[in-house]
Amino acid sequence: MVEWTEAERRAIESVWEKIDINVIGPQALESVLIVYPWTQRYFGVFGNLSSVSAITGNPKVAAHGKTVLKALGSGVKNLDDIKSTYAKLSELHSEKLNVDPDNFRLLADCITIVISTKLAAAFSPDVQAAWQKFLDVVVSALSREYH
Amino acid sequence: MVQWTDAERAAIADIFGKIDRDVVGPNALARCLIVYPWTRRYFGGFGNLYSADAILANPKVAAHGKVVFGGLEKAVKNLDDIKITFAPLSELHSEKLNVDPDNFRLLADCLTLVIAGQMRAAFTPEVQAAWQKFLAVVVSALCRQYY
Repeated sequence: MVEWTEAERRAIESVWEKIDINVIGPQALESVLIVYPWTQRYFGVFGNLSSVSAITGNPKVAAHGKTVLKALGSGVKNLDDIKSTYAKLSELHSEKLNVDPDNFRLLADCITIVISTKLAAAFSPDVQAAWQKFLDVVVSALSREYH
Repeated sequence: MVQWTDAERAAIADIFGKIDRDVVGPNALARCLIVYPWTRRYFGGFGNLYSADAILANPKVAAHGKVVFGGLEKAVKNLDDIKITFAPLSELHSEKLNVDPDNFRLLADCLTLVIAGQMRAAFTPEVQAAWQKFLAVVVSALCRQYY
């Protein structure tokens, strides 16, 4: 089971308190679709993803970005039980959506980068370490039902 | 050979024009040592690396961060010739320093986060895409002499 120090719990909470999921979510998902264009294949029903401005103006992308960040909040509130928290989402992504789990890491990286642009110096190395550990655990939980 | 669009060249040049060179290198290297502690094994001669504070205050870490950044500045001046530009550095890292090349990607990730934190809203998805492509090419050039 994952062990969290007090400092790590505080750091993760502090990031979560500071960010606006309605801004971070859309921006992070837009980044993934732009920086790693093959990920667009999973969002065929979202309509126009044919250019940067199409992606950043696409309301379905924005809505889904918010959905993803909201789900991340479940992990923040259940740090000691992330595996079970994401069991159903893991099954959904593997069995129904057939998402290559490598892409979870790409989205996690983009979330972290967007957070860095918002928090700047407040995203100190210690906070970065705790946050990245948290995202690693979430990505691992999302990947579990694949095997 | 790597192809760069005019937009990518402009984005990369813009980044180097905007960021503080004396901060980015040292901060990124410090983050690498803090967030990925096994990387400290390569810097035994640097003295106290026992805590985040010690690493952030360590003058040898700061000095070496600037050296690393200087390498990136050389790359940006030789965008069409990065492979050859980095051939000696690649040999140094593989033959003499015996650095596991996976660590280049970790340092690259830390550089991206620091730059995102400095540029904030200016670090758009397109800028991120160009920057990450630049770092991927640099990392690839650094890995070439390993085989």
